[in-house]
Amino acid sequence: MQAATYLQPIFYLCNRRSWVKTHGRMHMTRKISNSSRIGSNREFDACKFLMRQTRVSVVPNTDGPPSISLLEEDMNTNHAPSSEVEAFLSKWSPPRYLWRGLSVLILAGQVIIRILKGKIHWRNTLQQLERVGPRSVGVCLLTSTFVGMAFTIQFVREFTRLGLNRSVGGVLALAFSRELSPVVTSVVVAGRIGSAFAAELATMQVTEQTDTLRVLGANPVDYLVMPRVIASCLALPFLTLLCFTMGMASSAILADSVYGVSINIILDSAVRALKSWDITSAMIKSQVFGAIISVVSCAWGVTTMGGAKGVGESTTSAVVISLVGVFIADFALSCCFFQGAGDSLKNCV
Amino acid sequence: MVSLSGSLLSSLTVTNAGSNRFTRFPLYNSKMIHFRCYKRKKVQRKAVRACVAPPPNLGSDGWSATKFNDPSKSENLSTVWEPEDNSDVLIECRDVYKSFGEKHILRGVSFKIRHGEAVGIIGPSGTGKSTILKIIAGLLAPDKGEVYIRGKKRVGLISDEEISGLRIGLVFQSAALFDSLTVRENVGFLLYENSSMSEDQISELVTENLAAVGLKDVEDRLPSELSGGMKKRVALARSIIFDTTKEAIEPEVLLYDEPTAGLDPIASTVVEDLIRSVHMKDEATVKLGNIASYVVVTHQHSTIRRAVDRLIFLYDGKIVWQGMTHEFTTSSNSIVQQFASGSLDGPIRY
Repeated sequence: MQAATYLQPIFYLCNRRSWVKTHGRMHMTRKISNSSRIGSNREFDACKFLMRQTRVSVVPNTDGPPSISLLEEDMNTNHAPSSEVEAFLSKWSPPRYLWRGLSVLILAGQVIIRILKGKIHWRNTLQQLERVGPRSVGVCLLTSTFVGMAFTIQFVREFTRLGLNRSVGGVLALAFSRELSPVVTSVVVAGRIGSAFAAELATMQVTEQTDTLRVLGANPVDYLVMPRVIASCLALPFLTLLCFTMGMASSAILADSVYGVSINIILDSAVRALKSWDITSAMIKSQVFGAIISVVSCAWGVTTMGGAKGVGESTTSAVVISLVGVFIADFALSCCFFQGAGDSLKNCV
Repeated sequence: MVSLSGSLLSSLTVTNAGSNRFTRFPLYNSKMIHFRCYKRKKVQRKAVRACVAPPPNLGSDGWSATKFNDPSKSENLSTVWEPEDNSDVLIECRDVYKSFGEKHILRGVSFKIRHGEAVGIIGPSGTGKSTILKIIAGLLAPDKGEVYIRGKKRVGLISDEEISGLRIGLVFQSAALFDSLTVRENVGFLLYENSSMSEDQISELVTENLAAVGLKDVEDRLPSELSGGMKKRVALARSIIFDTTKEAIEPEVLLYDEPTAGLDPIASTVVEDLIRSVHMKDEATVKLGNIASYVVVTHQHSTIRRAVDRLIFLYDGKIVWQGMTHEFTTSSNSIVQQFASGSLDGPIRY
């Protein structure tokens, strides 16, 4: 990947044969070995955009949407000229969020490729791991405590009326392990870490620090993005586990002290209902959520344009998009992981 | 005592019992006139070969890519394409076009940067000066046209391929120091990331390079604790540092984007002299960074006079004038005259 900027930040993903810069108005140019061809080859049709593109670049534009450039190195195809199609595409102004969304996918791909190649910046990864993990534990535990107690109030009140005291613990445990812990942890991390990632990278982008990185021979994906993605993917499962434990503990204590349902009954019921897959699925989910939060935040950060206002907007939208992404992924993963009729509670009725 | 900049300068330096390797720097000012006379002659001779032919089809709309007002220089056009002249060309831009959306920033810019040259790119705001630097550095790809680095065409951008034989450094207008790293980590960034040198070696080299730009005891400070002038000097130190353990040190072309913008006149002079002092004058005196040539983008008259030998005037995305620094104020080109005098009347409109 390579990011390039002209005054405004830009996101520019490069893979030798194909690179994509984000932004802008559709503006098609081609690079052909014969430089005298400007104009004479205008009729090369835009089908190439769909059929064969060696290089797609989207160029930032201060006063309008971004522009795409197609740089074709090999133009010896035999399509019939179709200037109408080209004209149609030239006027197409894709919305900026579309490019940012695309940049998320490309950045994710770059990160995966680079992890597979083993290009990991360990020092930065450890720094980010400390930031995402240990420094986020306090706020995560506090949140899960209160979420746990709030759910306990609702469950215990209604289940006690039905005489299902023995089921309360199981229901709570399933709710926490399968859905609440991963989601609550992710929400906290998105607010705390995702916003920080986006703001940090956005500031680096608008102050030309990412360009400086490139000039000094460091790849921004290796140096900035990968450590953050790895740190989030590693730390989130542990945070989720801690949140689950804390949520269950706070639930049991509240149920015992306020509603008179013994801690032993709650915990016994929880143990009967829980299976190892419930915890495993939570770990997998949280890992996916960590990846979504970090990649979205980093992508939004490095595609920032403008000054302080751009940084603010990027930070806000990074958190919002991360959260939406987390909820969508939660639904998708739950659909995959938990199919058919469940029988987890049969042991605690 | 180590000389920073060249055989001539080194003759002016005074040994200082080895306590500070770079105390030669203040002496530079006092001998400036002498030095610059020498330098001008040398570069002028080179500039005869450095002139670039205008692109063939650009004369019709607005300014042609190169316009020489001085009759003596128009003769140079005949010598342009001699192949033997290109042996010392480090960077060449050929007919470079760049636009951002509907804005056409560069419209066919061609020039060469030769070994040993101190080139200034000047022109009104928004004419593509910074863009051309970014294209040379490989941060932006030209829409059309080519950039040749030591005769080899640059394909893609900076991360796409390793360019062998030349390092290109870029000092941004804002200094662009990494604000979460200390000055030591900033200056030594290249070595921490890309070399096998030990921490102690890097630290020592950082101290040396900071001393070369007139800074000491700032290694542990954060960029936010530095003044504007100090930041620019740290950025300069960061761009001239190089791996001393390598057997072959590639020459470096440094690109400065408005290095003196926003500085007071004295700080400007300090930075201008630093730009001169890190410039390698001949192979034998390479001590710092091996800076073979440099390009300065500026609008400041003091920088034009003090830090640059040859000027390229960009206007409306094209080169409208090229010449030596001393010809700048005497040029009969109306655009150059207006720019030099700062007059509101003339072809440049705001």
